Amino acid sequence: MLTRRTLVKSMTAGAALAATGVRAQARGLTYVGWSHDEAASKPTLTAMFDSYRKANPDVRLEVVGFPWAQMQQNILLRLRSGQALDVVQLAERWLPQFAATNRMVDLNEVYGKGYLSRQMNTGLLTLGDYRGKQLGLPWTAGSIGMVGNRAVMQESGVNRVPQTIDEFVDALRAIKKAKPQSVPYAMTTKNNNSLSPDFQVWLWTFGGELLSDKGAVVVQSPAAVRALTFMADMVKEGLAAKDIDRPDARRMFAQNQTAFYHDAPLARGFARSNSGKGTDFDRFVVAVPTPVLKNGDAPRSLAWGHLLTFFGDGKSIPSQQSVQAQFAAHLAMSDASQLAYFNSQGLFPVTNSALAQLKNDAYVSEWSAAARSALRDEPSFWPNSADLTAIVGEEVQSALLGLKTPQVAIDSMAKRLQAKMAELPKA
Amino acid sequence: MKPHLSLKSRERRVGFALTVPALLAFAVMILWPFLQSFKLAFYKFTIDMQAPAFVGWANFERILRDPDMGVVWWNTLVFVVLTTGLTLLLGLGWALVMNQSFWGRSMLRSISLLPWVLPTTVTAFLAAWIFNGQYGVLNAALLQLGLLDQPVTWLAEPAGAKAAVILAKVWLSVPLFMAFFLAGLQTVSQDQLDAARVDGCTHWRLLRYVVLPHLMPTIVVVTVLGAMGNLQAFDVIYAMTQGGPIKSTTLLSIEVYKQAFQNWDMGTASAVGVLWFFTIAVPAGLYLRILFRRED
Repeated sequence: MLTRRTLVKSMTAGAALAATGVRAQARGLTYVGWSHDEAASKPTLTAMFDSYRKANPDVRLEVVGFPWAQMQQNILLRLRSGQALDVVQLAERWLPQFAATNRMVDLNEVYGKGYLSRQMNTGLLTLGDYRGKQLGLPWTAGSIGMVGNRAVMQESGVNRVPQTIDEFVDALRAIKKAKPQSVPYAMTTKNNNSLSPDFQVWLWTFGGELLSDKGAVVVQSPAAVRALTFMADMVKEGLAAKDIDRPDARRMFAQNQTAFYHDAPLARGFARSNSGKGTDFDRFVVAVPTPVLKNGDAPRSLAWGHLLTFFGDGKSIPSQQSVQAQFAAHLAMSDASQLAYFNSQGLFPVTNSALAQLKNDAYVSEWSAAARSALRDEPSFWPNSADLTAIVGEEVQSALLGLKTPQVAIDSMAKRLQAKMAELPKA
Repeated sequence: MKPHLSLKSRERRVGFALTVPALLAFAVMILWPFLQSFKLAFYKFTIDMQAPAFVGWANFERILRDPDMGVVWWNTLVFVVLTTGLTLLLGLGWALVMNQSFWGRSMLRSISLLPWVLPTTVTAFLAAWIFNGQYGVLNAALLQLGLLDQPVTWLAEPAGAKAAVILAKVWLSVPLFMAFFLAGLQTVSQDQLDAARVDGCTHWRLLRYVVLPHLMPTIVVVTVLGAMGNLQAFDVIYAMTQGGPIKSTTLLSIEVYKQAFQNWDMGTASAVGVLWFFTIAVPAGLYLRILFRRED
């Protein structure tokens, strides 16, 4: 007979069982990123998430998406409001800002340094390194390098990829002569976030730097003035044009209105879609090492990539068997995921084994070769990088628009950077 | 024994009780965040800090010393004055046209409201496409008409970008102004207009001495509201130029966003926000004064 006491007992036992069951069932995992919300990469990434869910039915994976431009503030808001941020997609240049929160997990302590270096090239791993800590796991990596349109070059009688700056300028002049309405080099001339990387590539090519390792402003140099003069002269001569940002360059490149521009490896993917010709357009897209001052110099490009990062309480470290670590490994260290991402988006893989499978793709191998001498975005190394990027962008733009001479722009840039760096607390 | 309440007192109590939900919502959704933001203006709070640190007036001192902030104030002033003025003129002119009787007037009135109905960002992207230096419609038209030899990079030049964002905002706001003026025009006494015409008034004198004085209260209110709206303009500018080139279209609203969500400096962003609030408070105060005076 069911007495009230037995009923209460059975209900209590049932509730306890249910609670245990729920606990066992619901190993929660929150992933925050932007790529899965973009139309082009959504199907591939959704398939990756689904395959993870299928293989791990005991994990409740919650996928949260924000547009790229709103990622930083949303991560910050989630951090400050204590919401879950187990695995987070970051652009490599955001790393220092979030490292400053002291909430990021050192992945060397999760996976082990040896394990990571066996999986990925150490050069690629530096993308996620901040002051000796592996705060990000490269998910896709490459560089902001130069890309060339073979059709435009051939049409203009440029049969060889220019190696030096002199050859480059000659090629641009030939293209302008053959196609007067074209913009031979779609150099970025607006948007600080694009201007700063493009300027740095030329600055390094001419032998200059923005900041020393210790944060001293070193941009006030003849090399910097020469680099900026070179860029401003290209605009004056009509070899580059005002009002160009990366998306404009991508469109013009795919419409054969531009021969060269700087972009990430996914340039080929954009050319496929913007040209409307799909992979047929691949034969025109060529990875071009940034022209050098003199033969033998290393071609310069800017390290670029997407990282997977873990945020925690700043104290506890998840194990390699943790849900977080396993999920990140599923995305960034599984050849199946890496190659699927490459095949759909043209985003370069990061694991040694996946890269080995693409050694016959000239675009990948040439780009990767050129990217070996890629350098880190200099402002990104500092917590006030947004301010530094804005200053560099504004001063470069002033010179490109002819509002300041290159010398005045560089002097002003140095003065403003010094003021901003002086605001930082001494480390 | 309970004191006896008059009917008026009871009505007042009930009236107050009815406003309590709205007051609570206002306090939670607007007043509290505003006070928090006001407080934060006196603190340093950057991304690397776990908690804000009190710094007194330091944020305000830094802002007021910063020459870039002078540029931002100037940009805001130019934008508000030109946008409000142009919108007023065009809105009034268009309302006068729409108040005439002609075939297809209703359809044209509906079409005139289109820029106001469209989402602002859509309009902003349309405007950015129109003014694009490489493949913009404006350049294409001017080149076709032979008015230009070379494309002009409107959004790349500080003056061009300023003009473009002002025109885009004017285009967005004209329908609203027009609707206000049209409503006002329809209350002008037809007898008064007829009498003035009989007395030999020309169209211009009719407008100058009958219509405009009648519309003056509407013009004042619409101008003040328009100035307040333009002081808060953000989306159209950010979508078109992101405040560039070289800060030439950075207004106070854009500066707050940049400080808060690009530089992660919440203290400075709040301080700029407080200054922005006091700037908006001037037309807002004027508006409230007009409103209360009218009620009296």
